[in-house]
Amino acid sequence: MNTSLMTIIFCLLAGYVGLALLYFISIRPRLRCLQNGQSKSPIPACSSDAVDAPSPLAVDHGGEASPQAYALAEPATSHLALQRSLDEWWHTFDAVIDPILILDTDLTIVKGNRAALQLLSVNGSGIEGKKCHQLFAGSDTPCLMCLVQKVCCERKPHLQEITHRYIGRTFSVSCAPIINDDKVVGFVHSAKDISLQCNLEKRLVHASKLEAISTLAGGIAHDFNNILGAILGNADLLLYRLPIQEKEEHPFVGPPITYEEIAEHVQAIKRAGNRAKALVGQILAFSRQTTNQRRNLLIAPVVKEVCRLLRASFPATIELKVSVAQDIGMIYADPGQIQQVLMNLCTNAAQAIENDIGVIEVSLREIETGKAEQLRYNDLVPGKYVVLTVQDTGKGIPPKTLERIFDPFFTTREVGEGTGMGLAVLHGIIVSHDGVIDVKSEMGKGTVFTVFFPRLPEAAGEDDEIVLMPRGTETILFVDDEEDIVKMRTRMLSYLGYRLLPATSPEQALSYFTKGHEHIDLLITDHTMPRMTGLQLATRISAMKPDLPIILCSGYSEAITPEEAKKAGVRRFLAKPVDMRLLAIAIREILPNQDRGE
Amino acid sequence: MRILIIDDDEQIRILLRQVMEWAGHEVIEAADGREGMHQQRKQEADLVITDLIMPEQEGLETITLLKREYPLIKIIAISGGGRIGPDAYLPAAQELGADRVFSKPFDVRELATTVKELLANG
Repeated sequence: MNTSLMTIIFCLLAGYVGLALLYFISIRPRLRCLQNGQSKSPIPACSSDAVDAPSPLAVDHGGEASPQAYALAEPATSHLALQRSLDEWWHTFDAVIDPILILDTDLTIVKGNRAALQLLSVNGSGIEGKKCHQLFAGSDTPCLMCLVQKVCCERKPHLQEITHRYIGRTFSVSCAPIINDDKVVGFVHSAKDISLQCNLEKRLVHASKLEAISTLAGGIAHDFNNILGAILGNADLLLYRLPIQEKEEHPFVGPPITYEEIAEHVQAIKRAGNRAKALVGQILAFSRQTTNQRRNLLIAPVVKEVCRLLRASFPATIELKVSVAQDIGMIYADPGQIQQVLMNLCTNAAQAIENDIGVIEVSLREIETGKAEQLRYNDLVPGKYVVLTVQDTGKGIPPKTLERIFDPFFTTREVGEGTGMGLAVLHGIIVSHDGVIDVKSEMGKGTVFTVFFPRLPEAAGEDDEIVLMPRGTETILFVDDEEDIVKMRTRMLSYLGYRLLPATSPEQALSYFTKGHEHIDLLITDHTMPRMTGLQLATRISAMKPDLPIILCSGYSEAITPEEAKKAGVRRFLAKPVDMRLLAIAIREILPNQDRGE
Repeated sequence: MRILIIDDDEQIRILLRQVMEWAGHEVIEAADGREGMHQQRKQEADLVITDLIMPEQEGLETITLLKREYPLIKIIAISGGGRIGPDAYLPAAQELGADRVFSKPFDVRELATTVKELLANG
């Protein structure tokens, strides 16, 4: 029985933690000495227990699978050598700082290292014999994002970032199959805790955004002063020209004001007010945006607008030249993040210009990458790109600095000059947009940053126009534990004509069905919610109302298999953040046809 | 008198045109310094009201060129400021030859009075 465990330990963990050499050099020859040929397993069964074992990974829940247990009735020297090797192995296994579990095919923990015990043990109790999902997720069923099914099918290791709210940590989980006799007999599960990195990444993005906002502040102030100039100026003119002001002394010599002119001044005030309103909306949109809101986007107006604001933010001695080619196509991007990229690149460029005298050139153009580009930019896949370039006549970047320029926390700035996090964050943003960033610099001459964004096909349409989305009049129950999202979605879907029942918890959603007062045509639910996942909610509601169509909104890291979804009655997945247009289309694809406006 | 207004903000240009026309002046407009210089060379204004932060050619450069080519021309610089505030731009404009400076938003009557004074002294 325990020989199976030994098999797993030797043939897999040896490979996993880099102990293959130990196995082949030290252990394997000794095992060969023990081999009598009665087993097909890589490491032979060495006891009658092993021969009788019902499963290659059966666990003796009653006893500790210690190295001593494998020291069988063999000659003393072999016994001691094996004992020593096993001791070495156990020590190494325990020394690994990431929690490692050896699981059988039922996801029962066969063995865990010390880090796993420290992470998962409840009140000092052992973890062996328990299900991994019980300890990681507090669930009696496997986690929805569990990798084992994929690993089992493809018979190769997989890696995924998973957040376990139950224990409040985010892990980079790797899962590798244990294969014996051409069968998957278990898994090696390693969970590297990346909670700190995830939090740092969020803070980096936030810090970078603050920096961008401070850059924008000058431009915003400039625009607001212009707007105020128009408002106050027109109001003053009205006051001076109206008959009530006639007695006051003023430098104006024109004829009395007409009604048309009064209307003209009022219209000018209104126009300026609307400009201020749009500007406020723009600032709020940028500062509130916390998650990636990618959509089909015309990038040219975004670049022009940012450059307009930046021009007012830089010292007058820095010339900002902007060149945007005609008919630039669309990219799939988050406009707030594109603003952030351009602002940070331009701010860096301005800081690189000595004595504030120099030129920054921003250009936007389209290219189709050929061999030359592929040779120059290794990461560039052949295709059409929208290329954003920011070039400065600054002091240039030394080659050694250039190598590390996208590293987090790498900075050449003095204290008080900024966070220095901009380029690492920008790199992250660009990569998340399937883009590529390149930098070239020459000391004393300047630096060029080139960013490639994949261009969308000609047929792609912009996502802005809510009026163009398909509409309907059915009743939709919308569930999400984030109140703001519920508010926003219910508002947007209401615009499209639907009747919305909002719920901020799975329990509230269930109550609509248990009370039975409402006729509901569709359920749209978030997946990750406290106490009950979207999938669990879908399962329960499907049991009550089997024909109800369900849309599940899930993050990328929450992998749910189509089988699980189908079983729970889910008709459609939508990746979060949910694109409004896709949601509108999905609703109409799922619900029966009816007369609707487009 | 002929007044040249240089500002990239159309609403400010419209406002200034109304103010100046109501004060009895003829007005020509330009959306940036380069166009402003072109208009000046073509129509030769008596007084220029110029913004400072503009695309193509900044106000400070425009003031320098104007004073070099037309030493007697009267110039009023206006600015809504930017990263370092209007206080940093306007003194520079004065150093380069602007006769008066105004921060946006400004009082139109004060501006019109200043224009009248400068033209009377010219």
